[in-house]
Amino acid sequence: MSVLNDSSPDEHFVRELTRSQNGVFAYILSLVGNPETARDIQQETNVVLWRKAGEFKKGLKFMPWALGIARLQVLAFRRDHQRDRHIFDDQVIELLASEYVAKPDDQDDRQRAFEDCIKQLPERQQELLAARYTPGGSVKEIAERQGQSAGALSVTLSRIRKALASCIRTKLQKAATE
Amino acid sequence: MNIEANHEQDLFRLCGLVVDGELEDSDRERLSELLATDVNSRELYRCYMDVHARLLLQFEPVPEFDESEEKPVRLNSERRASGGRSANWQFAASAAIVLFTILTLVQSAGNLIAARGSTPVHVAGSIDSEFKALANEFFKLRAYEKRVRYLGPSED
Repeated sequence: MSVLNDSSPDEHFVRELTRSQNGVFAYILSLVGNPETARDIQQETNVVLWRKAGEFKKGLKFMPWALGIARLQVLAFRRDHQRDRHIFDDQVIELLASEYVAKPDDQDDRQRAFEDCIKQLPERQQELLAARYTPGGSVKEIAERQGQSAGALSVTLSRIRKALASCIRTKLQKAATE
Repeated sequence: MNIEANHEQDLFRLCGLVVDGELEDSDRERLSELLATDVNSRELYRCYMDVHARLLLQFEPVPEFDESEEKPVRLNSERRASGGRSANWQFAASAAIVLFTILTLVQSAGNLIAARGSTPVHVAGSIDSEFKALANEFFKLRAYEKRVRYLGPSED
């Protein structure tokens, strides 16, 4: 049973803000590459979203609005850290940002597809992902434990991510045609 | 292997380097070139990074709780054995209420200051800091809720 209802615009806003978090993080990460930087920018984005909550009206699409603000925060971060080496130049950032597929109701479906696809992986691959993504899990250390090169393990992990991306895409396409 | 397959293989190699933090200058240039010139490469890159982001969130640390309130979580294998999953929606809703209350209080404080005709910079900054700290706590709770969903329901 849901404790909240959508009677209040503020409750609706909190609901949308909460639902958007994974997608906003993924969007920012794709633009900056580094998870710590992405988390900092996401935090700033959340502050701005809350400050601008009054501008968000029920019925509007939250995700495009949130991603627009996240994009501005990424640009602000780049402006404030001009001397740092960034993964992409402005042209690539603009291309990636503008083309990001941000279907407003897609985020829940995407997360569900992701969770389903992980479950479909062989147990060995699930364990490998857990070892890599649990904080402190480094490719080098895992490779040493397993007696293989870091490069070989990195390729294996990349193949798993690629397989997951493909699985999610297939599930979303299938859901869209049903 | 055709040119397109080579192209894609190169892209995924570069994506792997981004994720591992091993991107050299020459790799960076190659990746930028691919993304700047090919819409399909951009789509593949976004999907790959989306997976990476969700994996990071899936395994991010859970907040520490008082032991008396903490419930044991079950391992994947135990969860699979029991079948099905139980989304901890009540937890998520409770966390949302906590955040909503906090945000309302922060907003009220901001309105009060504004009503008095001036907003001292240090006070506004303090509100932002408070908000960030509270928002952090909230999203840690969200991470915990996700972790519970992933590992399976804890037994009462």
